[in-house]
Amino acid sequence: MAYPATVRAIEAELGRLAAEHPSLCTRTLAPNRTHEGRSVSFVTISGAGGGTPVLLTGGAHAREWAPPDALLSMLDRLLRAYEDDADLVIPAFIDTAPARDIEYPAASIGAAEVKRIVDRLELHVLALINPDGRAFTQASSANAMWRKNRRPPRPGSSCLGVDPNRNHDLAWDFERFYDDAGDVAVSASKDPCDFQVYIGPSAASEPEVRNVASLLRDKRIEFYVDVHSFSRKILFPWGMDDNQTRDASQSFRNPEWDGRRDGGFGGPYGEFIPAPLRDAHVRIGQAMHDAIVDGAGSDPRAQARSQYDVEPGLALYPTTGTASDFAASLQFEPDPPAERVISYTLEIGSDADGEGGFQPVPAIYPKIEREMHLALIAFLLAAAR
Amino acid sequence: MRQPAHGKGIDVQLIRIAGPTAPMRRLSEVEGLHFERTSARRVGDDRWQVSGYASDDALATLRERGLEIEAVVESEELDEQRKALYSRLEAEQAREARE
Repeated sequence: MAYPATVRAIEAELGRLAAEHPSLCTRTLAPNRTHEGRSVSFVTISGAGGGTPVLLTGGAHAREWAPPDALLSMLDRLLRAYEDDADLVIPAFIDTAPARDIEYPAASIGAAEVKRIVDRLELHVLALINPDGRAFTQASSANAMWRKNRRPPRPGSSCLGVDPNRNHDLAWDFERFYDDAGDVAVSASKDPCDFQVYIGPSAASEPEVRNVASLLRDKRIEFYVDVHSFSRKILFPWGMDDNQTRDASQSFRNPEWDGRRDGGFGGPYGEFIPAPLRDAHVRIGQAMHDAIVDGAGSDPRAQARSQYDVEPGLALYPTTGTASDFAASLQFEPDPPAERVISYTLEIGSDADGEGGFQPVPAIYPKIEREMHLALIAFLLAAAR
Repeated sequence: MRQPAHGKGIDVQLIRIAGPTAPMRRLSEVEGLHFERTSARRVGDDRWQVSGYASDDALATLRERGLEIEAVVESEELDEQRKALYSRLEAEQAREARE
């Protein structure tokens, strides 16, 4: 499957993986078709049965082409290595675009580690959350910047689409959630004509979102990564506000704070995260970061181009209704599907260093692909402990 | 940022934008700017940097707001990259149509 893969090629690849590895890999249709009638499928990889449930997703945002392709190539390498009882090898890559070539050496994950991943995990991968959106971006270069799904417009409007990563049922109604300052800062909109971050007519209104949510709940997911591009970041909860570990009453679950949350920057409110949970995210995130840098080899230029920041999702813009925050929120429910959830958004690639932002050119794609593979394998090894 | 009224492509360049917190938090108001929110990085006390794709009109608006612009990929190069990507896609889509 060549990058950039079409929607049809991605579906074919999912079928191929299941057909060629029937004892390890099963393909299942997600419960909801898209607005344009497409079915969405995911694969489950399990060597020994009964493993720790893990979910990886990609392709929520239409214009971000690399994540689905890289997820599927990683699965291909993992399955072949396991069946051959061999190391998983990430080939060397030479970036010939700079004035002087930059070499990224081959990397190897040992056969024992491959076996640990496949045998100790129940690995679910939904590689392309939003096939309608991807098909639209690939139909014409005029559509290259499309981000949302393809929800039809309301009567009387010409504006289509909902941002799947603002539609999850967590702080979805941001105007109720935040104070006036937070409302201004939040990266979300109730305007259907907003080109990027329209939250939808209701929480989890979108079939693409319900597919992810149903997997998180039904499979009782304990480890989750939602892969996006770009910005070389490993983001952990929360994106809604500054993190704090002192006061559990300052929580998205506490309606007494509705209308009083400021969305970050040192105000009175901070989103509670238990210290051990935060520390676990930092530790595993650092392992992902280290795997990428170690895989870059000894060339300082390669190392500089392989630095991924590990940080909470807030940064400059609070976000609501995101998949990774929603996944993390489930552990705080009265009857949680999983007692603890480790959840990230992984933003692969960069605007700089010739990496092409949302749509890398094929020549540089292998560099971005290997970074995702290295990071996610480190993540899977942490989950498989 | 509202949807373009037409289906034409927009000539854009890939840029980095830098400035104080307050105007940087209002980038969503700028027509013709597609910025990647997770790219936000603190680059100083009350100073942030964000990456995105901007039309010429958006560039003018950003400069009017006192923000600093760094060109990462000029529009001509971005256009060439897209042409190569979409040529590849068209070939694959044509092959799929024949199957």
